[in-house]
Amino acid sequence: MVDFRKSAKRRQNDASEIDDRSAADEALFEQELRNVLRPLVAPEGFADRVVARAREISLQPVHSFSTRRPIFRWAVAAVLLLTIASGGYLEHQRARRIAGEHARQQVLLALRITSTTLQDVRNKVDSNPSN
Amino acid sequence: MGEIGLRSAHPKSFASSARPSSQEFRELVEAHQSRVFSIAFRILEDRWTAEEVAQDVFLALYKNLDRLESEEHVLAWLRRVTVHRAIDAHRHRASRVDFTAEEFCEERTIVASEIDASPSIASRRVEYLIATLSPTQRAILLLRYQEDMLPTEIATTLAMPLGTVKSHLQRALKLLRAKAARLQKEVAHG
Repeated sequence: MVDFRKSAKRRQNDASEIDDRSAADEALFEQELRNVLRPLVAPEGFADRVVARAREISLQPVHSFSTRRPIFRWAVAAVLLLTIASGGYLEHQRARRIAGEHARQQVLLALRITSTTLQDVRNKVDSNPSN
Repeated sequence: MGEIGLRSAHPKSFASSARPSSQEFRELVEAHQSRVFSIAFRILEDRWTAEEVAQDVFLALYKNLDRLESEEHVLAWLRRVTVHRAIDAHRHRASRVDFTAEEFCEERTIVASEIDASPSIASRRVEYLIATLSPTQRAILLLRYQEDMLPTEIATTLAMPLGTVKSHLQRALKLLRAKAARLQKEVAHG
């Protein structure tokens, strides 16, 4: 007769043993990583080289004007905006002028046609005095 | 010696004044040079580029010191900037040389003999395996195990979602374990 309770308990114990072993392996592996990834020693004279370069920077004259300053960015944005706005306005004016010129030409043409027609009528009236 | 600046305050009050004095800056560099160089070196696997990146990081720190408010702020800034600059340098490197395990170990031994106590063969193998990870995975692994940071701290430092950090970390560890097992087998079979 198989004792199911005992066998289930054994399985449970085996599973927890495997869990413990894998957790221990994991911890061991992580510890190995920590050992391997200890900070390295910086190359000799590293600090001297950095300080020397920093000294060079500090000896350079400080420019009061910098393109990185926010005011410069705002100024560039304002100039761009102004350019776009004035460009738009000038383009609008040019289109209006062209349209006006076109209308003037139309009116002049209409007047010319009218004048020619009236002249024709007058000539006809003058050539037939019996009317 | 006071060419760098005219400041006399302790690094704890960076924000209050201009640039630090030469001596203060040197102390700051000496305090953090190992970690900065290690992060850069382990992401780039090249001593010269790593030193260049590390120097640039400290110079950037020098320029931005007045914006940093405390030692913790400086440390977080250094870690973040080093990781980002090293990853950028890795990406921009003209031709990426792929090392074999032997070449890597040889290169690592040369570097180790110059800058580190000689590591064991097992350590070099693990370092080689770490070098096969992507730069981002490597950076996260470094912050976790070299800097002993928690995933939440790494997420804040790298401005990454916590889930992304955790998944990078888990994937990196899984990959490392699998590669270590494979390498172990290869070594066992000669």
